[in-house]
Amino acid sequence: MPDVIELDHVGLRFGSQEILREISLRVAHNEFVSIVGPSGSGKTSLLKCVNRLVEPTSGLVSIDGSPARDFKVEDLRRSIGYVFQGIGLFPHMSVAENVSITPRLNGADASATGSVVADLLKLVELPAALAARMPHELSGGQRQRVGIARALAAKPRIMLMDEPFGALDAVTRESLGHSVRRLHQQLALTTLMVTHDMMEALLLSDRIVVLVDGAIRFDGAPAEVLNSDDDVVASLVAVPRRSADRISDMFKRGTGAGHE
Amino acid sequence: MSDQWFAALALLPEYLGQHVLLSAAALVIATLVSLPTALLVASRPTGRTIVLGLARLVQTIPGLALIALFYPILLALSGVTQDRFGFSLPTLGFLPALLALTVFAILPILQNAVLGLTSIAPDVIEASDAVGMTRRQRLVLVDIPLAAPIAMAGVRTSAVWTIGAATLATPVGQTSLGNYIFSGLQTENWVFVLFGCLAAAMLAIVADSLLALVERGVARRRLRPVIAGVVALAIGVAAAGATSLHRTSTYVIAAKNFSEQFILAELIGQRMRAAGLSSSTKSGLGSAVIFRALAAGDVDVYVDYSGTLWTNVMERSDMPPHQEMLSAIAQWMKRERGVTVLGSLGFQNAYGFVMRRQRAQELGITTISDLARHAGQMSFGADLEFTVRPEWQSARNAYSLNFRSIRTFDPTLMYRALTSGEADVISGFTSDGRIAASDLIVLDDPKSAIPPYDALLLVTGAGAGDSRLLDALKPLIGAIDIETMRSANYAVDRDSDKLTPAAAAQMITEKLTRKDAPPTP
Repeated sequence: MPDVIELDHVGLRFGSQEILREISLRVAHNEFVSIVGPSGSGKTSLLKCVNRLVEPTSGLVSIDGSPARDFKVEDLRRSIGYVFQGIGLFPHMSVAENVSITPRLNGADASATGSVVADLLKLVELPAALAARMPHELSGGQRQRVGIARALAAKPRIMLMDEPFGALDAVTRESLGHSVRRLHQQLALTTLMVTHDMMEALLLSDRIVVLVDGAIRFDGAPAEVLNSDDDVVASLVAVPRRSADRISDMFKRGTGAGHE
Repeated sequence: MSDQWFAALALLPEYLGQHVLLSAAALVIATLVSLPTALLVASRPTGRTIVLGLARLVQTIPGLALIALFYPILLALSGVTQDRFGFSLPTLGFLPALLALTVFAILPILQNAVLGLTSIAPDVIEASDAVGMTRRQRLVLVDIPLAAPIAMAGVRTSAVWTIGAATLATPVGQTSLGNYIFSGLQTENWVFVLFGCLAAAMLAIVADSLLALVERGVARRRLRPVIAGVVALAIGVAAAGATSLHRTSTYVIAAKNFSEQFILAELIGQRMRAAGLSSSTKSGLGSAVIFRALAAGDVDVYVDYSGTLWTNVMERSDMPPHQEMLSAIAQWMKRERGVTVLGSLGFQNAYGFVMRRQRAQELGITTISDLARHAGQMSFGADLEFTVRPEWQSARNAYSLNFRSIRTFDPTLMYRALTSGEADVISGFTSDGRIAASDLIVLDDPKSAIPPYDALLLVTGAGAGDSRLLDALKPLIGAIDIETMRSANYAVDRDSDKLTPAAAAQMITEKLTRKDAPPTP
């Protein structure tokens, strides 16, 4: 059985600028892979090569063993969930219309999508009453949940996420992170997530890929990340490690603000 | 005072109806042109720059000038269609006004529609692509709905502009609420001016409110306010159409933009109605436009002056004896332009150099030659066209006139400038009632630099062959002496107890019937 997502020597350049270099990456069925790296390392471009929001200059992207470029681009995108930091809800459409957009693009009758919308809102833990609201009437966290519901509407097998929690507060990030991981299991998704936050990657992923200057620097399980002696990987891990150490100290001493 | 308000109110259905039809047509066409253009250029920066630049350029042309420009453009086009396809275009009235207003109305709609299409948030565009919309789906589902409220706001702006600018359609012969303003300004009838302004403002407010309703509906995607607004607008336009439907007239009478012309047009109209002939009036036309309109058949009858025809239309600079000139004009008109000169009404309205009597006596000025000696210290006030007319060239050369300063005024304000001392001498009209009333004198022209200006009744086209029309108008020939015309002019121009041009025309008619049998030409 072929891997769900396969990148084979994928390269991308804009003029003289080399964004991605010789990227080879396989993501197996129901695997949750995070791509981590400093800003400008090409994470987002790599993600967008999968649903062809960006077309690679060289190499081959395959979905379930078939070259992505052989699909009709709209069909490919409709079959892949996409969630990003900007969320991009359609401001003139209600929550229900936003969520049901992909089935409707696929020719589903607007009246037939009612129960689908209710199921999807339930899936992302939103009250059904929100269906009639407009996006500007929602909180940031609610909006991203609608964004996820929209991405799930066409029952995709692949979920692409680009900094999905980037614009949210810490509490909301945490709860949404749990939901994402739960949905990943429950719907047997194959998830590729871009984040600059190593802690998030460590907590959610099965596997972490570190991208530096458009090339893969590291590829391994979270435990391997923590033990890596690569200096870039170590520096990415340093911040969450220090925070975790300080917080665990505080818990041990039972004090609040840990100023020494 | 209240008489003037009633007189204004009586004209409202026609003026408002025409105004609404003109503005609505311009707005609809501008919208139909702008929206697809915006869709076409929104994603092309170069195209966008060019198209918006062009629209902006048009906006910089003053509204009145833009409307005036379409007259020669249509005249030229009409020549081409006549040669190629055997039909001519109307060069006056609805068409030039419509084209100018349409061009004028495009910018706000185009600008807003482009803005709406280009200001869609990048996140929304990314989401549209990511959910797998085709270009077409994105256009229909995202771009157009998001741009629509902004484009609609442009339509509103445009509507207010267009309704305001449509008042400028009067000088090219299209009836509008501007008729109140232009004729009111000429006859110093401030009630008319005010009435025209108020009516245009009210119309703009009503149209804007209804369009605001539509805009809100579009923005909130509620169908009911959109339908309510559109239906109300449609009813308004239909009502305007209904007022002008049964207004098909056989003949068009024209008038230039001063009191005497308004009165004579009314007089001609009254005589035609009495003879059972229907007519409509285009008033406020420029001197050059009005004759071309007659020659082109857009106008059937009006009064022009021999000197104007001789120097401006026939471009003659020689000065034959009076009767010789009149018969030469009549022959030339028939031969060159197919226009029939029915005859002289019996008075002259010549251009003359006019001064306050007291000041002229102080300086010992009775002729233009006397004036020339003092001209270096004098300020000259001319009407809007005098200084570009051949009569001025001729007088200036004959007497070596060299004024300290020359200013141009609207005819009404020109007299004000003379009486208030802002001007020392003006280019007055000899039949003007204000000359006697304000104790002014007309300076003699010993060198005959300025030709005589007999008021001539001109008829063209079908009118010239219609015996009923000719019978209705012939009694006017030789029937109006200078005193009659002056008093009628003064009745319209004076400050208190003003008459409308129609009432002044009645006054002339009463005088004519008292004289009983009018003299034969």
